[in-house]
Amino acid sequence: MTALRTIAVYALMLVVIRVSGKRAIGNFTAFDLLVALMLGEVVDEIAYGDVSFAQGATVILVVAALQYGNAWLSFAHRGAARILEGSPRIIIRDGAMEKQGMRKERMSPSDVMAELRGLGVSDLREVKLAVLEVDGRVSVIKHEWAESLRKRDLASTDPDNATDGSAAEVPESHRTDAEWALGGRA
Amino acid sequence: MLHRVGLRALVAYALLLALLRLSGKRLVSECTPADLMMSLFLGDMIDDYLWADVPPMQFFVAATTVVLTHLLVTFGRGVWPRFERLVEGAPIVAMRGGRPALEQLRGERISRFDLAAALRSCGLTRHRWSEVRAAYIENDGSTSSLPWPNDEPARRSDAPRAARLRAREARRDSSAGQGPIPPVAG
Repeated sequence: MTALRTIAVYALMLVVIRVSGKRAIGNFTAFDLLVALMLGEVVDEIAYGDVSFAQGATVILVVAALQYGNAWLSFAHRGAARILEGSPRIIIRDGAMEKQGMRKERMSPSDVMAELRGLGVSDLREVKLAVLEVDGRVSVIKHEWAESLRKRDLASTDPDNATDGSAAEVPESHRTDAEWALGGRA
Repeated sequence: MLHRVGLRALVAYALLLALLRLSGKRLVSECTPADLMMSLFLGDMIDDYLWADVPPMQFFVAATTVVLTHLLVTFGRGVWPRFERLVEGAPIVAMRGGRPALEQLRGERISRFDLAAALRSCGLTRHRWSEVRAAYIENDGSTSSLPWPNDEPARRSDAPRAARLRAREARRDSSAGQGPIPPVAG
């Protein structure tokens, strides 16, 4: 009986997580994490039979529906997204720390440097823009001079490299693009 | 009483360790829907056993069932592509040919702001979106972006070719009476 209930609740949760989309899995905002923990916290009572399956399923479905509504609202309405998810905060601009943004996120200069080290950046001056995203990760955009070398830089006169980046000029042999990479027709 | 709790913690720890080793590496490194599920389940079921709310046998059965179901699901997604698509979903095409793939993004309720944040995590600001040949939101929620051939990182093997091209250019220019061009990387 325990085994059956466990399988049933596993299947239900799998469906719920799939339907709620990619956002529930990767880019955890604070609230996404809370919801995942909440859903995780009810499964054991169902598996052990402390609550009836119908009761447990109702809780899971209601929480999932609320989360779906939340995601939809954040998508449809920028203001709602700001309230429900928060907005990204700039912490470095043009090689200098933004004290105001850091203060609002309670980040110290050493926190910022630790984040940069984690991304392989050792020199603050290389950073054009660093943003603390709503999921708590930091993204770094480097100055053009600090970016790594590209083929374009090595041989500007190379006739094989002469495409300027517009879709029409990419030869067929380079079509490792959308459909192909997803297993579609080449 | 206390030593019993300690003993149960030891047993639970050992059992979970054994089950996780059995379930393979994917749970640790990746976080697709099914993997996330199993972590939530196991983490949640352990506490009832620790506080002796459920008999050991029931915990053992429930935990083993979760892992077996998970193994079955992961095995199924390996041999049966349609099942994999069902449980994991398919990567979303976020950008194609330097432009946002608006319809797919709308389908997953990913706003332009979410897209911008996703591309920032790849170090790309909005004004450089045209440099993205294709970008995907993968099943684990992370973003990958593919550049145009010309914007790919230069490889060491590109250097000799670039040097030849530069030399040819220099010869052409000197024969036109303009004198040799100094080496670029001087």
